[in-house]
Amino acid sequence: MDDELDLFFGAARAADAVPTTDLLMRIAADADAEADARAAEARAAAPRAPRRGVWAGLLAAVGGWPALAGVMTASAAGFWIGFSAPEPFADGVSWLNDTAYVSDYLPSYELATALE
Amino acid sequence: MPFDAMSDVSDEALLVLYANGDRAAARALTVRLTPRVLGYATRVLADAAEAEDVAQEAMLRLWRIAPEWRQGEAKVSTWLYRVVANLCTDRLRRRRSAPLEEAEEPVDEARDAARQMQDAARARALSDALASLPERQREAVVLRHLEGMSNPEIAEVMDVSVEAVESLTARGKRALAARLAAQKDALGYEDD
Repeated sequence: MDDELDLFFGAARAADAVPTTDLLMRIAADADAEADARAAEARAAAPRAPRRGVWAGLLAAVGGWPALAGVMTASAAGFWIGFSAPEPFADGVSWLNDTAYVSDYLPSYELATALE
Repeated sequence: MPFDAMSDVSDEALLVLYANGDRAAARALTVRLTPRVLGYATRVLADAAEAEDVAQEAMLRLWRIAPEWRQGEAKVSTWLYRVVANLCTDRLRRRRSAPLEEAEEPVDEARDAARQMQDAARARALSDALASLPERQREAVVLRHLEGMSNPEIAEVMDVSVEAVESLTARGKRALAARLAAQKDALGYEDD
């Protein structure tokens, strides 16, 4: 049986289907299209440089975070001083160890008035 | 790189080159593998146009798997035959669900012809006889006796055991012999 069948198998192998040029070109074009699609995907997935926003621009303009830290410290100090300052006194009155002192800024004027 | 410079490069290496952007490698694989893919599909489907579609689809799947190809796990040709087998199975199933068309009668035009014509008739007769086999027997016989694959390779392609391959090819060959015996006189193969 095998010898008889081998004649048929041999004839079939000799009559192998030969791909047409058109088929080969279609298959090669598919390969190129897949390669193009992969290259496009790779480009789309590549990390981009982040865009600078408005706040980032302002921060850079004042000299970055170190400079901003200085500005914020000064602002906080000014804010605290504004809240914690003592009540204003009458001009010429100051306190030292619970004793009020009166400063006379123009003694010569009063003296001159008294002497008149 | 020209094709002939790639003749010594393995299928797997060419596929990796293609995955890395070498389009000449894809052309070398196209020229090398398409005849085998087309031949197998033609024998299983017995339809040239459908076999071309299957060959193109199988090669497209190869291009798509290229970046994820795991080296050393399977031969490219084995993987490709498996894809072709599955695509052919799908088409044969669709055919069965479609209305049956009148089958072509085997041609016996080689009755008094020269040897070349006789060979052509034998090839045609074998094709018709193969088409009458159950699908799995046909695949096994084609892979073993026309594609020249070993039983373990066929087992991998068909996803069955080697013993199952042996059984499928044996039953397939018996059925083929019975079918072809009916045409023995017409084809004159006793004269060889």
